[in-house]
Amino acid sequence: MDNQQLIAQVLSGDARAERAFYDDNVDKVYRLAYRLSGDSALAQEFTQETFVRAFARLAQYRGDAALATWICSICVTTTLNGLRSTKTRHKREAGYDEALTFAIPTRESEPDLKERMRHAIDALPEGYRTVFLMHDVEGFTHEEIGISLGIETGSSKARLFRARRKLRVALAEFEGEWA
Amino acid sequence: MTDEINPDEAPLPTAQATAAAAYNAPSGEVPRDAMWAAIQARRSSASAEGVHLELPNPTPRVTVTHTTRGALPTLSRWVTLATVSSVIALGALLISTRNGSPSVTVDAPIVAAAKADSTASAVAWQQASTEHFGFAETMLATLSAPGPAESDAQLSAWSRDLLQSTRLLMDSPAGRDPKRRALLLDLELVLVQLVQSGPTMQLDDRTVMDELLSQSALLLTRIRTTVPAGMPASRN
Repeated sequence: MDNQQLIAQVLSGDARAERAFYDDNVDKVYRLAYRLSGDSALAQEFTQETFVRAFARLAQYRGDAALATWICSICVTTTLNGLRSTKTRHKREAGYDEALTFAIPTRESEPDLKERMRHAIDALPEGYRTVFLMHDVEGFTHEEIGISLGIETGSSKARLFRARRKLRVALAEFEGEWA
Repeated sequence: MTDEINPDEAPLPTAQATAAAAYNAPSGEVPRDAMWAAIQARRSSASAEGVHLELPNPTPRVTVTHTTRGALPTLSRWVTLATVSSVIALGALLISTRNGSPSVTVDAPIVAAAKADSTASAVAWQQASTEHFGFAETMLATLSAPGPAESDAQLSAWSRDLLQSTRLLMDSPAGRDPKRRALLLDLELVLVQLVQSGPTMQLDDRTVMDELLSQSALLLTRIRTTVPAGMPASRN
C-alpha cells in the first residue's frame, strides 16, 4: 500500500490504517523528539502530540513533501514549542561562553569528550543545534530539514556549518588528540 | 556560491562525530503501544468535546504610532478573532457533516450547498488570515523598532493575543493554503518565544535574543512577500 492509499484509508476512518500510519512513522518521530528533548517522558509527550496533530491535519497534506518529512516537520515544531514552554532547555543550556570555558583544558581533570560534546551541543543556539542534530546525528538531508523548519536549503547548510564551527572551537583541545 | 570546501563544511572528526551520536541517544525500545493508547485517548477526548474555542483574556492594548501598515485599533483585533472563530466553527461544522453516517443518502442540492459552504469557509479563512498577518506584521515591525508608546508588557500581551489567533487559524480545517499555513507555523514559533520571554520581554541569553530578532525580521519579510499589503482577501 502506498502513502496515498494509506492516507485515503486513514481519512475514511479505517482503524487499521491509522495504526499502520502510526507504526510506519513513530520510530523516526520518537527518535527526533528524544534527540531534541533528551528526556524519555518529554519525547513520549511530544510524539503523542505530533500524531494527534498529524491525524487532525492529514486532510491538508498535499504531497508536496514526503509524508515522513511532513510528520517530522510537525514533530520539530511541537518539540521546540514544548521545550520552550516547559523551560527544560534553560536547565540544560549553559550558554556558549560557558561552553568555551568548558573547552579550556584543565589537565588535572579533563572531562570526557562525550560530556564536553554534550555541553557544546547544548550551548548551540537552538536553530544551529536543531539542524546539527537532524543532519549530522539523525541523517536528514538539507532538503528535508528545510521543509521541516520552513527554511531554505541554503540556510540549513549555513546553520550546519556554523554549528560545526562552534563545536570545533569548543572541542579544539580534543581535535588534535582524537582526530 | 562556490563549490570550494571550507573547513566548516567538512564533517566532524570521527571521534567527535561518535560523541555527537551519543548526544540524547534514545535508549531502549520505543513505547509504541503505550503512546498509541494515549494518542487514541486524546483523539477520542477531542472529538467528544468538539471544537473548543478559547478567546483571550482582556489584556492591555497597544497603541501603535509608527507602523508600516497603519495602526490597527483594538476593535478590529476582536473582529479578527471573531472572524477566525467563525471560520473554525464553520470548518468544524463541515467536518462533522462530512463525518456523518455514511449510510445516509445525500441529495445533490445538499452536496452543492456543502461545496458552496466549503468555498465560503476557505474564503473566510483567507480573509481572516490576511487580517491576522497584517496584525503580525505590525507587531513584528514594532518589535524591531519599538516606539515610546509600546511598553514591553504591552508587546508581550500583544504577542499572546496573536499566538492564540495564530493557533485558531492553524487548527481551522478551512485553511488549505500551504504557504500561509507554513507562515503560520513559523509565526507560532516566534510568538511562543516572545510569550515565553515574559512581560518584561527579557531573554537571558543574548544569542537567543539576537536569533529571535533575526527570525522576526525574516518572518516580517516573508509575510510582506506572501501577503502583500492591499491584497484582496478573497483572491483564492
